[in-house]
Amino acid sequence: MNNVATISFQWLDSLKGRNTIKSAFNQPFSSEDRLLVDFAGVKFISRAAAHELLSQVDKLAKKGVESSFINLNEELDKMFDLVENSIGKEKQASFRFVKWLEFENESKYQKYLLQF
Amino acid sequence: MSNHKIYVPNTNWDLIKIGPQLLHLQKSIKAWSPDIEKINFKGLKFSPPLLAVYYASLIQESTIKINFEGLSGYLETLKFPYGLLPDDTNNWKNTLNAFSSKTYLPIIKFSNKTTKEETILREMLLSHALKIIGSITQIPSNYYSAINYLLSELTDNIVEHSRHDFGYFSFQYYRENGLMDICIADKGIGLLGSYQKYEGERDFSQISNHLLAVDSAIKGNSTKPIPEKRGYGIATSRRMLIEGLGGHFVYLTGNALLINEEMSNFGEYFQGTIALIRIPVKSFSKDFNWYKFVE
Repeated sequence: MNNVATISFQWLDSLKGRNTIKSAFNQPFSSEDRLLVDFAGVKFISRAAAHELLSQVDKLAKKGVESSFINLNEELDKMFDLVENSIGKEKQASFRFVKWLEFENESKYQKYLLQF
Repeated sequence: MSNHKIYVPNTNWDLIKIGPQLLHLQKSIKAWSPDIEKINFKGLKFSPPLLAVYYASLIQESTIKINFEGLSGYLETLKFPYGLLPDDTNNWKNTLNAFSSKTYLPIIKFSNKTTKEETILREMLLSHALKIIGSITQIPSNYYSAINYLLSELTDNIVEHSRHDFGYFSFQYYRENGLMDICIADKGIGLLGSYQKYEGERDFSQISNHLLAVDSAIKGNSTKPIPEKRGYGIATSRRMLIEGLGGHFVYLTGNALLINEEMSNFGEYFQGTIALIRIPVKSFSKDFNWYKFVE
């Protein structure tokens, strides 16, 4: 019979950082293990944390450890779908536009800043 | 007779607007010199998050001791300049809860350490701070999640890239103006430093100044050890904030200043990074869907 390991985030209602996930997965898993990731109580996951979690699960899958997510709310489910679907896709150029401004003198720069 | 050189911040401007805050910051950095031993805050009755975090980090992280005097009641309530530094007890929760009826939070100094304990504490701390912000501003759940997203991206950048022990967080709600500010900062290596210290397979040698570093981060060039080209999440955060929430995004690192989509040479140098997000919270759209802005 397989050993079942569980990762839960019982102290947290949101998972913001990559390190939160890294530290949760920082434990030995043997190839016989099955992993349950329990999201009970978690209402929000950031994109970075979702990406890290999927990467960790993927790494474990390559070692033969199967993972299941339980108690996943709709918001979390949506974020996982979004991350899975975005990997490898070209990003939208309009997101990444930067206009470089130059000013003739300090007074013009001051005027520019004061419009905000 | 005292020979101490004293700096007195000039507060003649309307500090609710972002421009005057930036000019104040620019002037303060310019006027700063290593022989200043004291700052007199007697004229600074109010400090927006950007300046609170700037002066707090200046006093705390200077290599020489900087004395200060003339703190107003407001600054003292902000726990200026040392901030709320949570430990592993729950006292910080009670401290934050006491701000539920105010329009601001104390300056929060959060650890960037990546041990399990420090990571969980940071998550709990920022989540709790956001809960209080939600209660103060009465934002609906779609706006709450968007701000949670922005907070996650910006704090994660500091934890992952600043190579510094602490970050700073500050919040202010301008009830009459229907605006809120959140400022997140660090005194670490900055974006340029993050590229320069990168030791992986990618070539970032062409990123030779702060402006190029910001541009490059927005273009998606990440020093994170992950295969996808996603950058620092600054681009996504910026678009969600501007197009989705109708706010302003201000990002300063070194001498590079990004305001929304426009980058300029700030003319003065800030060690580390400061991100200011300004969000209108007067009226809300129930159709706002923050997922639409996540790449």
